[in-house]
Amino acid sequence: MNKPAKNIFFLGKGGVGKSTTSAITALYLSERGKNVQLISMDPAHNQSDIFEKSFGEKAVKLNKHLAVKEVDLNKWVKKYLADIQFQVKRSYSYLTAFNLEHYLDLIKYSPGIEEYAMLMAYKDIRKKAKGIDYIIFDMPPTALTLKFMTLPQTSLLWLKKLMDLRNKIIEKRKIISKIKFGTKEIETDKIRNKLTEQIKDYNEIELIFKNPDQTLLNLVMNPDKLSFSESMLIVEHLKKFNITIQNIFLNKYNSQFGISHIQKQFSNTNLQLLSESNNPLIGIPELTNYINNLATFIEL
Amino acid sequence: MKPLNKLKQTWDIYKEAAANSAVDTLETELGELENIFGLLVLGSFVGFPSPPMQITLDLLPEMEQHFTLMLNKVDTAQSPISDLLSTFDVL
Repeated sequence: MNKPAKNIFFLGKGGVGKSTTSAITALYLSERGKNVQLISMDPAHNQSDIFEKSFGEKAVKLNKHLAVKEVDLNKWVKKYLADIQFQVKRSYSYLTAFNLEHYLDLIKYSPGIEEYAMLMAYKDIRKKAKGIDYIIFDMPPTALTLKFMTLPQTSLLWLKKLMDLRNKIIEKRKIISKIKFGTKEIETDKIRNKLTEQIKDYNEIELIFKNPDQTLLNLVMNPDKLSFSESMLIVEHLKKFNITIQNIFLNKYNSQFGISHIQKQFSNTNLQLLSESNNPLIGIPELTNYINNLATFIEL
Repeated sequence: MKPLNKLKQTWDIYKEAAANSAVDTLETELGELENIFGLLVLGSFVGFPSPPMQITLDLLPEMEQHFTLMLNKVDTAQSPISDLLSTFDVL
């Protein structure tokens, strides 16, 4: 059986170079014979500019081992809402379904829907990643990424409470049926089945997120105060959800910058230095040249 | 009718009455639990804090009854006294 693909997430403050760092890592691994998929999850996609090629939902091969894809979050939101609308129409009376249609049209602008679209895209990408060694995710800036990373856990908190309540309801129904008809009616509660499915789904995602053999979290930062403070916030926030950052990529590094305080603050993480390039890192030849000049590269 | 049969018949009637009353209470409790469940899941429709959107949406196709009930409750919320009176069948 094939080994499941390893997730590598690149996160950090806006503008620190997450896309460039993801592109460098993807190219580095693919040139060493690893099968890599580079996925841009950021709604403001940059990979097309970096590789000077247009990408979309369908993976585009850049070399024998590397394919790139840009996720269209709007497409995922539309597809999801259309599925719900279809199910509602099938199970509701005509009039209620008709009234709900307007509400569902509005939901695409609701808070929370974007990170769920990301989660749907993520699930789909992992499901289809046969024979892939690494899936590299170029993530959006901090706020959306943190919501995405913690969505399985926050959802599970709600789902477990709802499940407790549902079980109480089912138990009460059984008692009523026992008193009325003398037998405990065996219930197939559709709501409970849906809750069970969701809990199973989120548990699986959470397990992968927390397993360092299956998920690597790389924090990208620059040698400046703002990006350092935001990086600290990211680490602290994820720690509350038991999610650990394994590597720090210090991008646009120059030798005048002392790294001792970074090493001190992030003592349990590996540090990869990415020196400031003299030329813009655009196009495969320039990126390959940059990789070849790197003294070391972190083990992923 | 033998006295023993009569006693048994009286006991059966008493048992059924007690069972009915127990079921009534349980059914009211069940109804309230369902209301709470509906309110928790579909709270966003009436301005309550609600779970992440996708939990509501995934359960929505199975919750027509909860949904209609909640919207009806919102209607009667404007006249709580009349709702209370009709619940207890006073008028």
